[in-house]
Amino acid sequence: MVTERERHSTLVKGARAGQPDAIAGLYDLYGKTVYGVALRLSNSETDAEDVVQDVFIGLGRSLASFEGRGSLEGWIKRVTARTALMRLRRQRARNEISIEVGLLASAASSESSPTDRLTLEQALAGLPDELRAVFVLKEIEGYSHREIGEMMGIQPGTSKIRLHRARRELQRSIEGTA
Amino acid sequence: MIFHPTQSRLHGFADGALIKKVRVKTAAHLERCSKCRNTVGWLRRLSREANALPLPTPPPELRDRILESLRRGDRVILPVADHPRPAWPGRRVAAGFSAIVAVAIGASLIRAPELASEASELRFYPEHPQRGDEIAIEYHGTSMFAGEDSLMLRAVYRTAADGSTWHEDLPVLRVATLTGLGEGVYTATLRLPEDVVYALFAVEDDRGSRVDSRGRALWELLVYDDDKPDRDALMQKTYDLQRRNWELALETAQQATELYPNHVAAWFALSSLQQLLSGKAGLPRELLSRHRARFAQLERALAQNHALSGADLGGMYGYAVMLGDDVAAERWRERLLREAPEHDLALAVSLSEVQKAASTDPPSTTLAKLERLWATAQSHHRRPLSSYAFDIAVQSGTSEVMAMWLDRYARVQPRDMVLAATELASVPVGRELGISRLRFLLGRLESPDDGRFGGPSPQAVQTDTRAAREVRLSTRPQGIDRLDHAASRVFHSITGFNFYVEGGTLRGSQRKRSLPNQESTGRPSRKATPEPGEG
Repeated sequence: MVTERERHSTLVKGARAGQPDAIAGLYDLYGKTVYGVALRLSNSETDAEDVVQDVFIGLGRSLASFEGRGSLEGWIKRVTARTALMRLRRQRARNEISIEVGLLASAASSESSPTDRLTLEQALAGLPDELRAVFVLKEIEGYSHREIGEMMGIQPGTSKIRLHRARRELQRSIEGTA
Repeated sequence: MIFHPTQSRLHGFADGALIKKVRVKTAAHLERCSKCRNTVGWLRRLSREANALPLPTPPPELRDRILESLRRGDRVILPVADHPRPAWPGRRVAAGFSAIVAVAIGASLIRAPELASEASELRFYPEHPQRGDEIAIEYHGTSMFAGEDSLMLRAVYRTAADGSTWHEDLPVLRVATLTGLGEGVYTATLRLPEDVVYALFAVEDDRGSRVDSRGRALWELLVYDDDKPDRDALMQKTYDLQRRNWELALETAQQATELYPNHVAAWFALSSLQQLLSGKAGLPRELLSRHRARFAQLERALAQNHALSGADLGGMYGYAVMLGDDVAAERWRERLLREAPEHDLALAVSLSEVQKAASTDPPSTTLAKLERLWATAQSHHRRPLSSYAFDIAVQSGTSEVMAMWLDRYARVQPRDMVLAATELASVPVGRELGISRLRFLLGRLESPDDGRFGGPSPQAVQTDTRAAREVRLSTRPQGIDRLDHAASRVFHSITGFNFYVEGGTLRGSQRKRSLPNQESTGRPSRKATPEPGEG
């Protein structure tokens, strides 16, 4: 009987060899996770689909650099984040998206839940790319500021500042509609 | 009056990222302040709810689309690493893209003694300067430089004229003094020279013994042309990254082609990097056909233009080579050699042809050809040229010719003089000359801190066309590094002296016995090579 671990290992081996069925198997396992990361970072279903497509098409060749020290899921998520960020950077170069965000003056309201008045998803979607990326990578994906800095090509301190700005923006969005 | 913690501190508290002392103090405040407590509570709930967001489901047809792409043979290169720093690879790309293969390790900002600080930051105002702008600089350091009233800002400046010169081959300049404002903040202003389009920075203390180079990634400044990165700035950034970070180099080249679709050099650089990252398999079919279509468009636009720059001609030649279009490559090679013989790639092509013919030509013929190239070569071409000529001179066995090319090499690459001299001394025909050069060099090493050993002399710097600016290399550690790392073993076998580093100081000792069949070479400089116990 084939164990889950053996099946996993076979899929990785097959994917490295470029076998479509093996890549399809990995897609079945991680496709939803990859799509989630891609969608939250890129903020566009079309872009997220492109990112997922790129990740799974390039996965076979890229797996050569996976040394098996961490989990495959963690590695794929990281590669997905980098792919999505690279895409964002390219778009930014074209569109020159401004990341200037005003500071929130008002203090937080008392016991309100962040999602009481506006869904967090909507508020997240309204964030500028750079702020949303840091928020998603830190709060949802759990990366450290140092890791985020490495992925985004920014200082860990900048990542912290962007996280603060993102939270303030989210607070303003959510409470501003009150 | 109640003093509330800053928002930043409350965020840090919510994240559990404060040090104990601050955490305890903040917690004490939170106990009595409901407003701040609510802020922290809100932040924590935000974090929890963000974590609990449901995973979106990809559209069902996406799986089929991926499988279809795989069956079609589509290929994608994924960014699997954040900051890869591999060595620059294969000859084909190196010869085409980067002009000429370098032979020695050069000084650079990123080879400086490294004490990187994770939390430091170097900010520029304006963030996107135009050419020649005055820039205010703010450095937020860490305890690495605690107690320093001022710091030095070092830079590598790149201009369009630098072509595809590698990062390591450009001088490191001291461009400003950062004045401390307290609490680890330092500021300075500087005016970018008009021709500088891309600059890389590191911060060091006055002696150059502690350097913050952002974990070797350096801080960069890209000159803008109105609201977008300057074309030359993007190209210089691509070239600078070519041995430091392929992924970022590729991304930059891609950005250059998107912003400047008619710039040939950008397409050449992009195809070179894609080719490089594709490995032996070569460019994926789809990508190759896209490049071929682009090349055809460029060729239609440029073929009848007889006033093209060397960069355009070289770019078209290189692009054709990359795409395997031999006929077009030959056409553009001819134009490049005829219309821009001084261009990087023209020199690379000429040198390559001399090298090819060298297998049948006698050394004297090859040296005569190299002499002609030397006459027209620009300063940054002369290092690889003299390096190769020196090899041929060694084959010629004529000591005057060897000495001439060795001295030329030493002039253009003074910091590698020890390597060149030891290399020469290691072959029988050059042993005498090599040893005499090594003795001379050792004699110049007057103190362990002698800056002349590892880097160019002040005079040499002043004769460099680029070096009207203030120049300072971290020569002492580099000198030690070179002796210790690369040359000391050969040096020892020839001269009988050992070099070692003790307490940060370069020391030397004479060996106790002579190697068989080697004459005694005498004792070099007193200060540089004290007997054990002497210093």
